[in-house]
Amino acid sequence: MSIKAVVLNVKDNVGVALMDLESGTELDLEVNGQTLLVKLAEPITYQHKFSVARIDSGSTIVKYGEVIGEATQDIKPGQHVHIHNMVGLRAKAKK
Amino acid sequence: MELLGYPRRDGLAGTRNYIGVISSVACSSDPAIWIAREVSDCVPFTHRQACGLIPPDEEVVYRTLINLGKNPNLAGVLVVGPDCADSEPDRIANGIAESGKPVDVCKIHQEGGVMVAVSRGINIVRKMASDASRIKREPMPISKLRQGVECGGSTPISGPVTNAAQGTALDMVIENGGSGGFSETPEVIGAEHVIAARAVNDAVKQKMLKVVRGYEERLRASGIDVLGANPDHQNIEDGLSSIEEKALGAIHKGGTKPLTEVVGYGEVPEGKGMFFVDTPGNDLQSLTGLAAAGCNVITYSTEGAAPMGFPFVPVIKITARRDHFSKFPDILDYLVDIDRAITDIRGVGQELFNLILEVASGRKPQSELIGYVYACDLWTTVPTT
Repeated sequence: MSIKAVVLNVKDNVGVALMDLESGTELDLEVNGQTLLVKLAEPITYQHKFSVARIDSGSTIVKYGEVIGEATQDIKPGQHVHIHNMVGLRAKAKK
Repeated sequence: MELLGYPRRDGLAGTRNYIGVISSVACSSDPAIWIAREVSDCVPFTHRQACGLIPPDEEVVYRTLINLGKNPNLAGVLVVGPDCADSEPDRIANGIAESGKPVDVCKIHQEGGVMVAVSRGINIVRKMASDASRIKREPMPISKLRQGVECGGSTPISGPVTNAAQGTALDMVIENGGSGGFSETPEVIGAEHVIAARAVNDAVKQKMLKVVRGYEERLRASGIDVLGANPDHQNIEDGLSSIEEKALGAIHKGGTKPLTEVVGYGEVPEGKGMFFVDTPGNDLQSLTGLAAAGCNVITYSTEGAAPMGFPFVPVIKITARRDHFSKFPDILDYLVDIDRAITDIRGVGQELFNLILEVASGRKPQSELIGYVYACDLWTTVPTT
C-alpha cells in the first residue's frame, strides 16, 4: 500500500488514514481534482479520521458526503477526530 | 460473459443443484443431518425454531422455511419433522411444491421411529439426487442472478473498500438485468435516510423507514442501548465514532441503484433491481433471510474472517485484510486491495463481478469446498409459549 490517506467525498471535512501516520506527516490529498495539503497535528492510527479543515465546536463532521456527527470542541486541521471531540447526532439526541 | 446455471420449472436459475433436507422444527435437526450426509449433493438446513410459536413469528418461520425450499439452488427437498401439534411439515412441503420441484415429507413417528424414518429419508433423497444429477448446467442470461450482500465486522475501511466492492458488483448484476439486495436492518440505523432517498416511490421509501424504525423500537423495548452497541467497543477502537458513521459505511454494500422493494423476513422480492430484506444483524439469521429471498449467490465482506457459509447458496467471502487473507486461505475467497479500491472501485467491482459469475457457474468458494455450512439460524422476534 502506498496511499497514506484519503478524503472520500468532496463535501468531507475529515480524511481517513490508510496506514499508521506520525504527527507532522504532510499529506497531499486529492479532492475533486485539487490537491489539499494537510499537516498532521497528532499521530493518526490506521483507519482513524483527521480533520482537513478547521471545524468549530458544534458544527458538523462530514464523511462519505454525509453528516456523521458534530464537533464537541474546536478542531484544527490535522487533528484526530474521534469520540473525544465529536458526537453522533443520534447519540446526542438521546442524552 | 455468461452464466451457466440449472434451469428450474418456475423459470428461476439454480447456481447449484443440491437436494435440501429441511428440518421442520429444531428437534428434527439430527435426523435431517443424518439423512443429508449419506447421499452426495444433499445438504441439511437446520434451525432452532418452530416450536411454541405465536404471531407474528409463526407466519414468519413457515414462510421462511417454504421460501428456503423454493430457492432455485435446490433441485428437490425433503422436509423432516416429528408428528406433533407444533410441527407442520406438510404445510412446509405443500408450500415448496408450488415451485414445481420434487418435494417429500418424512415424519419421524409416522414412519415408525427414528431409524426407520432416517432410512426412508435417505432413500427419498437418493432418488431425488439421482434424478437431479441428470440436469445439466446451461448458458443463461446474467439477469437470472440474484445476489445477496452481507457484511460482518465493520471497520472504517470496510465501507469504502470491501462494502463498496460488493456494492459495485451488485450494481453490475443489476445493470445486466439481474437483481440483488442487502439486509441487516440494525446496521442501517443512522443511514436509513440515505437508502430511503433511493426508493423508486413513496411507498417503498416509507416501508424502508418503517422497518428501521420498527427495529429500533424493538431494541429499545428490550432495554438495549442501540447507540451503545453500535458502534461497539471494537468499532470505536478501529476508529468508528458514531452509529451514523458505521451505518454510512455499511450501506456501501447496497451499491448505488434505486431501491425497488423492501420485504419482510422470509419473503421473496418479486421484481428486478435492488431490494432490502428486513433481517437482524446476526449474520447466520441474515444469510437465511437472503437465501429465503431467492438469492442464488451471496457475497460477504468480513473483516473478522467469519468462517461459515450457507448450506445451498455459495458464499463468497471478501476481506481487505491482507494478513487474514494469507493466514486463512480456507475461509476467505477474495482480497480487495485498499489502494485499488480507493482509486478504481469500478475495476475492483468488475473483478468481483467476474468471480461472482464464475462461482455462480460452478466454482466453489472455500466454505462450500470444506462443507462449513451447517451453522444456520432463523430469526424470531417474540417469546414462545
